[in-house]
Amino acid sequence: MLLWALCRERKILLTPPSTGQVKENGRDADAPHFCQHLVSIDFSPEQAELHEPATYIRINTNAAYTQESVFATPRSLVCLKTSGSMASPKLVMHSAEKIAGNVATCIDRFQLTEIDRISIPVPIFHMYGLGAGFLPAIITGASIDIQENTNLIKLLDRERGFEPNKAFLTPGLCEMFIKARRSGRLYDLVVTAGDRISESNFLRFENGFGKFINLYGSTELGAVATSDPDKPLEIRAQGFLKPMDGVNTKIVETETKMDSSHGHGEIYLSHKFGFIGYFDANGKPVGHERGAGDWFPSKDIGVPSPDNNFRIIGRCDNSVNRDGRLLPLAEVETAMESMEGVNRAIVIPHGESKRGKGIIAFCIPEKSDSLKVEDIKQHCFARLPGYAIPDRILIINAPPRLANGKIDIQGLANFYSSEMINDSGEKHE
Amino acid sequence: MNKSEVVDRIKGLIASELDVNLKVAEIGEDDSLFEDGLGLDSVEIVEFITILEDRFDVQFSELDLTKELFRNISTIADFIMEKTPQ
Repeated sequence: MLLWALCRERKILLTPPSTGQVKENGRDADAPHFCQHLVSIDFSPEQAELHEPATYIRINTNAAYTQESVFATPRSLVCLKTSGSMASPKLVMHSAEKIAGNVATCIDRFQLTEIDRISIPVPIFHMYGLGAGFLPAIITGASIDIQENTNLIKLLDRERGFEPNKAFLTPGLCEMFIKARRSGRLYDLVVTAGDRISESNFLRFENGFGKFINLYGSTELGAVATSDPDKPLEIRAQGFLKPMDGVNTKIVETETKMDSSHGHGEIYLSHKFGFIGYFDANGKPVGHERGAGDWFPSKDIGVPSPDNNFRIIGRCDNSVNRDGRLLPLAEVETAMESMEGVNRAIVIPHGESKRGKGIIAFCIPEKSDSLKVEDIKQHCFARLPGYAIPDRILIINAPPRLANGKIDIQGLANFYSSEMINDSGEKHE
Repeated sequence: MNKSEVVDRIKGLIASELDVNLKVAEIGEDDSLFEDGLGLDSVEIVEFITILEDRFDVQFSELDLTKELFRNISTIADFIMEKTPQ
């Protein structure tokens, strides 16, 4: 359907499903003004027939549509909306040609072929599901199983009928496999993206379910890098990433004082198949049109490896100054997660300490009541410099979670109160 | 334990250990566990499985993790009764 729409209409906008909020004048609250039609799929109609698209595809006219569009261009365009997890959502415009180039790099990296049976239980209106999963799969002629709002039980039910050999999963689904799936299906390849996955979980997943690689990318640039499928598991599990064809990287030290002996810095990326630019809801460009050689600041801190690969350490805006050094909090988390029994560590800034900004670590154990704060602290002392040791470590058996399964870090921060909580994460009344 | 006791214990676990904001009295043994019933989301389903395994000392194999078995509390109680020495 998407390919048909690309050929016919040439200008496609992909956004998350509408919230159903319709303004009084009949306008869809989520639709930009330059969209003439809104296409949606009803996943559960009673009378749906696979070969009769009219039974499950809905096409509605956007009452907010205005013809004053900048799209008087012969180019085929695809517009995606950023997730908005880090800032307000933006409209990101791609040319269809560059999307196709991006797709080709994914086909090559994931070795997709027409005999593959590919499970895609992730949203296909975001770049990961669409550009790395759905489009590469459909172009190679592979069989595809798309699922919406799945859970472990539904997913296993579908797998029994579909028998996939490759899958695109979220880290949340991977964690569910590790926790509750006993006899693993050995996939030829599983790709994950979207959130950090700890080294121990990476090892556990691959040992249980087959070859595992992590994808690093964005709405703006599409697929940027993945774990190198040809590298041994131990290297892939440490988070090293190999750029896709057409991607160049450079790591630039920030102005803040930093322990440069590790080569840490912000990752800048250029992508031959990157986006054209940002647009507003009226279809007007925001900023200049981007070229293939323009550097894009990822806002991620990374470290290079000798073979031109790199590893993500954390977000630039998730670092603090301690003892005059910039400390990416994800580096502390990674060190803590290397301890046996620690499933996940989350480090947040909190107040001030004698070293500068105070930091608190929340540790989520693999099994309840299996960790001791003193042991975790000793583990940190053996792996981290003094300025990186958390001021306080709390063990949280059941962290708050968002609806999408990710840990609610803001909720954890709100939960914390030094006078109210003991080291086991239990509140004092 | 008879089935009624297993059902009551499962209801208690859902009310006390899962983040579902339900009281025991609001949970029916024939209610669907999913969005058309008790509304356990993807994370809570996994929590529920691990809690059942831990508290009843049973293990769900891959073949046990089906929509039929996880249809409602009654079907889960039947499985636990079958796997637990009486």
